Amino acid sequence: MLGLNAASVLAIIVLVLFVILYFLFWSQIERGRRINLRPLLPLNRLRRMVQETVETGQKVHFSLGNGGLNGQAGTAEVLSGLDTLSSVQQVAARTKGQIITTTNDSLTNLLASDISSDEFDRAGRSTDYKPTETRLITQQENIAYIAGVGSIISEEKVSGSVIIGRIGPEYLLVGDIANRRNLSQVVGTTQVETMPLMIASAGLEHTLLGEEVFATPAYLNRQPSHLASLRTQDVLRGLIIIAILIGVVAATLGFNVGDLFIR
Amino acid sequence: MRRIGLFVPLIIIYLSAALVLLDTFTDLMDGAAALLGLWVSIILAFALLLGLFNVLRVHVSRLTSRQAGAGYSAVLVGSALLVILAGVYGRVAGLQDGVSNWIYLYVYEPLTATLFSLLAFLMVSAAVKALRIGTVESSLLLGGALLVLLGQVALQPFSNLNDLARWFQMYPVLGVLRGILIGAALGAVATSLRYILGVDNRYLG
Repeated sequence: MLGLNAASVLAIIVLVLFVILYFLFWSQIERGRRINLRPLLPLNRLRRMVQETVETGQKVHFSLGNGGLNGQAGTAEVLSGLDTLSSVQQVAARTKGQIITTTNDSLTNLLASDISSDEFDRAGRSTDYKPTETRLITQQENIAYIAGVGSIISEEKVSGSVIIGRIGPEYLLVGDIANRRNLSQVVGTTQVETMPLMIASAGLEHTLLGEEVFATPAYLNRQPSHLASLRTQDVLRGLIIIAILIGVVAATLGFNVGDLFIR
Repeated sequence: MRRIGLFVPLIIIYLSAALVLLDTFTDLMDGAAALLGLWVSIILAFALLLGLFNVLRVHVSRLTSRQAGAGYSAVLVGSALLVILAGVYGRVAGLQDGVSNWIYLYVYEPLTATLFSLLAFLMVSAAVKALRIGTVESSLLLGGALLVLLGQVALQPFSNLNDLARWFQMYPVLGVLRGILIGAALGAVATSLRYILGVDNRYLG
């Protein structure tokens, strides 16, 4: 009657399980349960880069990647990037650092501008926020966007570049300029074809890979709501590993359970 | 007061999320997600106007303060106005999008293709840099890339590497790739759910 198939039921069960586990872990963390996070070296560098802008008098460029909020691919990366931007601007507002944020989507630009000005308001430095430091470069034109970012980091007083989000191989255009100018880089992507290029250009210790892009806000702000979602992901990952093992055993024994997982 | 200010947007978020989930998983709300997508497109049109003002503000301020690269800003503002005027002229003259399409096809596309073609050289440059660093990870990365590249060559003795390169891509690489994708998908679900549940609501001010 509802048009539900096995795949839909399975997806709903996973979503409900996710929500239940999420609130359970959130309440545990609020009550003092400690979460051990493995160190992410790129984020140490990110903090240092923002704090050093005060000493150097230069700015840090921050990009949310090529994703957008109008149904394009990369919406989740942009949302996670906005959380990361919020934490970065919080540090910048406190330490009188300066961030140039660039976007490839007008809706993202509005939100990025709003979040940045909010962080300066909270730090009591609302007059120090410059609206021209949150810039729309293009509207969903990946190559033109990267060309615009390249122009910013090569012409302006920038000491480092942060690109975290969904971004394709065109990243190399910026990576090359950053290397030639000896700029610090922190990069991260969910695009598997870009990962080796980022590692080759920025180095493994400065590159966030896949899920680390989504984990970044939790590492930076340490809020219980973000830490709980990391814990939930870990539990679900464990369940997926068990499901894969069951699938392997079932397939070896001649049972076809794969159809359950394919819509 | 802030709580009341948050209440209405959060209700809208919950309702929209419920509609989209029902549309995705059941037959109850056919087309609801498409309708909401259309509304977002309308908002996007206004956001684009604000975006244009943002672009003009940044570049006009660079022009007036005579910063380095102000000439590029002049070209950018001039090109933006030219394309807008071309679009309006095309509509008025009954050419529809003919003029702006011509600019896109014969000016913009060749420029982006030229930039994209640079990537091949930049990849080699990045590979050389990785090789110079000489860490275990970068050496493994380059070794793997070299193996797959040589495995594609039809000439002897490299063609012997063909099977090894295919095995390398089908098993170790595909396994790692799927692991990364599953991890990223879980991260995307977690981030989206935090927004849908209203836990991350900084964008509400």
